[in-house]
Amino acid sequence: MSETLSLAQVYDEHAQALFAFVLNLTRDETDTRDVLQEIFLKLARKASLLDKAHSPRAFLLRMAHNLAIDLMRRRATRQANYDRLAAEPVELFEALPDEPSFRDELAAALAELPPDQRAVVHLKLWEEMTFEQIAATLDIPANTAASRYRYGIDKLRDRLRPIYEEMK
Amino acid sequence: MNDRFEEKLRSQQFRQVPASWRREIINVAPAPAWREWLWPSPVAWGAVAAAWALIGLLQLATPQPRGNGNGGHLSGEAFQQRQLLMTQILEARS
Repeated sequence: MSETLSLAQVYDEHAQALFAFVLNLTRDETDTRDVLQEIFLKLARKASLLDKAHSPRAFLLRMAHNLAIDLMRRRATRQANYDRLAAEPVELFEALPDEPSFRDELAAALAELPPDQRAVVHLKLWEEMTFEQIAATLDIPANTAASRYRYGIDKLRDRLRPIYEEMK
Repeated sequence: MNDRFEEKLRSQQFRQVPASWRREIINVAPAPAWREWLWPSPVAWGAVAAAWALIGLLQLATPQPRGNGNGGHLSGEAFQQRQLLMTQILEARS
């Protein structure tokens, strides 16, 4: 089997999900590309990495999470103003003509969540994972995943309530 | 409200991964397997290769004793020729 072909297949199936997840975590496009590059470099070096994975998507998201957290920690040690950078607006969502203000508010509200809550909220909402799957992906207990989600979604609701009520 | 709110969030589409990334990321050339294997001590492996090259050069530069392929034993005809040559030399000296 051609390794290039299998890498292309993996990319086509999972890159978008990895991109969204890592961009949501790092809030930096360069860091996101570095993380994706690192993932695919690891896969290129050891093509069998995915063979034993029960769910390739969950396995890749776990890799992405670990690499993104490492990157964010390294960056945080280099620059004390990491939190300020993380809170800067980033083009997270597709620029569709409807509801731009809601998307901007949501992106900002997500940036205000601690990374561990943001990761759980992302996997629950946009990867539609169960808490058990999230727990396995992030290597945390399922009840921790559930409580992080609850905290995170409550914060988003509080933050977005005015604009959400306005839209209804 | 919860479900509707969560559905509202879920309906937001993330940006598409930039198209140019696909080629950049997929075509990332992994180091060949032999280089990975040598990588832990390339200097040591280089030194071993240089030593072998030096040994080879010395081997080529050193004159070899001429043999006839019989492990040092002369054939009968060659022995006679050599004996004749030695006789001629001795006669010429005397």
